[in-house]
Amino acid sequence: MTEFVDILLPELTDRYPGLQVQINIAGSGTLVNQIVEGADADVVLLAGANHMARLQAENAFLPPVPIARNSLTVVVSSNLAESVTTISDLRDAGLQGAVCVPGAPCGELAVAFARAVNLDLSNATREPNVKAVLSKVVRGEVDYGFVYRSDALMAANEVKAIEAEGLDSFTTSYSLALKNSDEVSVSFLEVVTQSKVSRVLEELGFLSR
Amino acid sequence: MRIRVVALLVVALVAAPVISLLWRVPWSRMSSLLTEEVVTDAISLSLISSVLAAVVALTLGVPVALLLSRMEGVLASITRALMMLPMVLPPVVGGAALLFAFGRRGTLGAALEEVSGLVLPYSLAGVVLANAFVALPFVVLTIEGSLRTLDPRFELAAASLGANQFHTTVKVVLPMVRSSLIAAGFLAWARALGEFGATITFAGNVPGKTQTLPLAVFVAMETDQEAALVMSVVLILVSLVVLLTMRDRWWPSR
Repeated sequence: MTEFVDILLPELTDRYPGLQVQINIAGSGTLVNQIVEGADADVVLLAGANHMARLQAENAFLPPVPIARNSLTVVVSSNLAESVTTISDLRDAGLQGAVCVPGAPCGELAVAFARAVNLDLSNATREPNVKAVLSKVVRGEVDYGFVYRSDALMAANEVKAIEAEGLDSFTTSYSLALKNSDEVSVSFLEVVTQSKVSRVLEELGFLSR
Repeated sequence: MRIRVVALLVVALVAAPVISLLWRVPWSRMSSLLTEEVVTDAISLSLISSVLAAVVALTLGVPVALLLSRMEGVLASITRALMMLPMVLPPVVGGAALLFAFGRRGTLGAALEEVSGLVLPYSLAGVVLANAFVALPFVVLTIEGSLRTLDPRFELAAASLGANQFHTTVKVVLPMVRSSLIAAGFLAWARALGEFGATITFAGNVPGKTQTLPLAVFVAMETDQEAALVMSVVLILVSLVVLLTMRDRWWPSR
């Protein structure tokens, strides 16, 4: 989701020159923990419905607005691009995998998918976030990793995505919640949901909301 | 008097977070959470890997401390600075450095895998290596410090009685710094037990294989905070028990 911020911030500061935006980037679960423990935020952008539900249950945020979705993808490191092309190739016991931690939506999706196709992930390393999974695959420290479609696209030169039936039905939604409906917050929401931003997100591999 | 008040405030400042954490612990769920496989795996892995790392750090640290205690000048300073580096570096940087050296695509790791089929990341050996790496400076620092306070005449006496250097070191020098060897071992163990950054970066986070207690706490913070708290209590209790049994041994004998 870090890509979001890079796209959105210039748009927002165009509208409000001199606007100071403080950004706290962390996994969605961590962010919700921080807010529940008293961290102050005007806008929260989260992945996964569970974390947003937890935020809504515990705090006075306005109802969330969906921004985009992302689908699960398996990527293999470039040196295995020829030999590992299907999900059943991943069952080779010698291969080392990586997935997100169970608390991250990418981890939940990977575990759900693995259960559906009977893939054993018990030896896979649980990385703190999806970018950590991607970087392990890119550097060849693991043989395969479960990431998002947008990540696979971003690193298309360094990793290869595996085609698998039904994989793209495992999706995470990103949503945004405002603390208040003040002018700047509402404007932020407008920026995020405008079609120009949606187009850029789709080019980056995200799915429409 | 004023110093005492300030000191008590500082003690309270350290105690407050620990007590606040204990306050949140779901004591009624303690026993059921403690028997969950993820938790028991993490506890046993942490105990095994931290003890092994302390032994490794101690074994590797003693020769370096002996060497440094006999060196003077620029070369000594450079060597000492290098040996202290893992203590100052952010552990995640240490982990990344280990990965570049001993990872599957690392300069040494790739050769190691080629020759022996041994892969250090995602294994107990990887956890021990990461933990020993960050613990080593504590061993070197502690033991070198106390070696430097030794009276050199003991060594000279041993030598004049015909003992060779190895014998002198093992039979005369090391027994005289026994208490700092013990202190160094426990410091290394304590550092290894709490190690997070280098472990997750280098050895990964595989439940039952490389997921030590700190890593399991980190994962559980986002999924099952009560389990995270229970594991934190285990860490606090184990650390306190060891600190209390060690008491004054932390300091090399005066």
